[in-house]
Amino acid sequence: MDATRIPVVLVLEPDTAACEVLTLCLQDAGLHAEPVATAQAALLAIRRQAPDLLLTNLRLPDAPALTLLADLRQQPKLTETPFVVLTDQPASLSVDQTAQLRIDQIIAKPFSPRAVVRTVQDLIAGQLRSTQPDPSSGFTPPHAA
Amino acid sequence: MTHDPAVNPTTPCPPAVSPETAGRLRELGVQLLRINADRSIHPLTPDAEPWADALSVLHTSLFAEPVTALDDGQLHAVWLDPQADPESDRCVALVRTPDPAAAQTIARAAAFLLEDQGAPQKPTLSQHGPAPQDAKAHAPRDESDLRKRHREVTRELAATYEELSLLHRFAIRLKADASPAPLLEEATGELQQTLQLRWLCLHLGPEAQHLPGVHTNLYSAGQAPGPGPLRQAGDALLKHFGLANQALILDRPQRVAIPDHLLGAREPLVVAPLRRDGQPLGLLFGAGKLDGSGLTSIDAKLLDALAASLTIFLHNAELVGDARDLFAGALHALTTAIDAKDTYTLGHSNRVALLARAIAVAAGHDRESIKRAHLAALVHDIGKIGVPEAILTKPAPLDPEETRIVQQHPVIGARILQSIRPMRELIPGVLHHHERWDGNGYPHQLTGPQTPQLGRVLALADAFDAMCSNRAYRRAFDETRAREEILRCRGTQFDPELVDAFQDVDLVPYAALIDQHLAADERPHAA
Repeated sequence: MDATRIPVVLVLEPDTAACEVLTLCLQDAGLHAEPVATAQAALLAIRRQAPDLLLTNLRLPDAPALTLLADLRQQPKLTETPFVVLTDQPASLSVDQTAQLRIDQIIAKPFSPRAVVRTVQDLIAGQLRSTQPDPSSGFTPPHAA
Repeated sequence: MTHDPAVNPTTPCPPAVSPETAGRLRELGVQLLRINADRSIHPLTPDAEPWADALSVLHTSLFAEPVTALDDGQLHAVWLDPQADPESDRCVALVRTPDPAAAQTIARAAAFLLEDQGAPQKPTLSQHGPAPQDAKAHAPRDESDLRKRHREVTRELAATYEELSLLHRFAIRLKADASPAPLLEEATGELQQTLQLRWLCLHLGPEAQHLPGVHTNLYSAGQAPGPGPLRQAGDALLKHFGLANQALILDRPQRVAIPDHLLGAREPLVVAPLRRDGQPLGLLFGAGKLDGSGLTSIDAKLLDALAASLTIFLHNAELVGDARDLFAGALHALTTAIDAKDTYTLGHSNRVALLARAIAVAAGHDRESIKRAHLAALVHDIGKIGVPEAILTKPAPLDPEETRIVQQHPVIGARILQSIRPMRELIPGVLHHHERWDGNGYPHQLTGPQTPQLGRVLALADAFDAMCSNRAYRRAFDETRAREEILRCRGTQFDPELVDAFQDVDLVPYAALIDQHLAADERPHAA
């Protein structure tokens, strides 16, 4: 990732209010947030530009989110991209699924927008360190968070 | 009257009107009705209701003309869109004016209002007249306005999410058994972050400081002044506002004996009291919004909500502490009563408790079971209160009747504990601590695992201590012989698994306790 470029966060959230809040708070934090409400719109947006982080609800109107995440992990440009899941049913996600899809963080609703922004910033910073050609920075595993 | 296409824009009829739009229509003196394709009439504004019935009678003439005079010419009914298909749903404006032309102008204004409401509509405005300019003048201002309002609403929504998330987290976390100090510290920090205060402090008064696990009377977060000034300010605020009904914003803290220099800056403070039964427990106070805006009643309200939760939490912590003390006191009173009854077994309850606990640990029982074994052992002989002292201390073997009476003590003990709710879970141990693995015990002659685990643990611990200590009727065994005896009775008197586990029990603390009890025993005799 280029450190000078504004990081792009794809916000896949069908709940309009939550989507607006997340988008605004991420933008306020200096990130480029792209809001989408469906899996299809997310796929189109990703085709245009691979995000630096994907923030997604677990319940999508047009596709099972886990299937979508599994598909996205297959895409070469998204193998290392941090995935953050927002859900009102955190218990529905098994440890195996989380590990398999390499979901970096699960955030239960009702969420604190500030905490979400902090998580996103931390993950992007970690990603930035791991891709910088700076030998002193060391290796940051994708699941550091 | 003839229809002039320039007068009326094409306006589809909305299914409903927002209260805000209804209010603005009322200001225009317009009542609104929808006439459906099936000729049914529905009021769209509340004040149009009486007309819905009246117009159904007049509908023939109403449908014929774009403008119809009603109510002796004082009111005019105007089609909002005279060109619309008469077979579709259409809107009629009732305008209170004697002038039909004015009624049409006002109806046009009403049509614009409806468009502003966001009814789906095609921008097919008339090519002539002032209407198009009006509409254009509207558009850009509305758009930037809307965008601005949208951001404001979203920002407010984000703050609401933040508050909701905070209250939710604390509602879950403020359990009575939570450890107070870390929780109070976190609550202060989270609240400071959520309210975006420059600093926030929780100051506890003398009433709250003695609570178990509270540790300190000051918790602060953010760029707070030092603990000294905070305590001094806290004391002053507590004196003035400790019993206030709700949180408040102090514009001039220096008025309440807080010197100017104390908190570093002359700025308003938000203060929320924690009070209980008319006693000031403490208060939350803080200052400065990180974004430079002023403190608001919303800040005070959220602070109040959390102050109330913290008060309940502190109160519960106190009650839990009291209940624990009471329970421990009751246990101590009971064991003392047993020991007083049978001086030959002085310290027996405590020693059996130590052994029972050690056996449960060695056998790998869970934490709750270990705790229960310890407590049940402390009161296992409580039923001896109901056995005559002469029998308990008889220096010779008991006759059959005496034996029968002594064997009642587990049942009596169970009965005593039945009335103390927190001790009911100890009953299986007390009732069955004289059962044997082979079924030859008492009172119920249970065999093997029929005897509850707690009873089996106590049976082993009780028997071992009985062998090791002085009894009225025989000299004590030594420890090695007692161990051998336990092994010999593996599978007959005792649960074999527990006997195996018992081999791992370190008896050094037990021996120390025996010595301690012997020393204590000798003192009264010497005196």
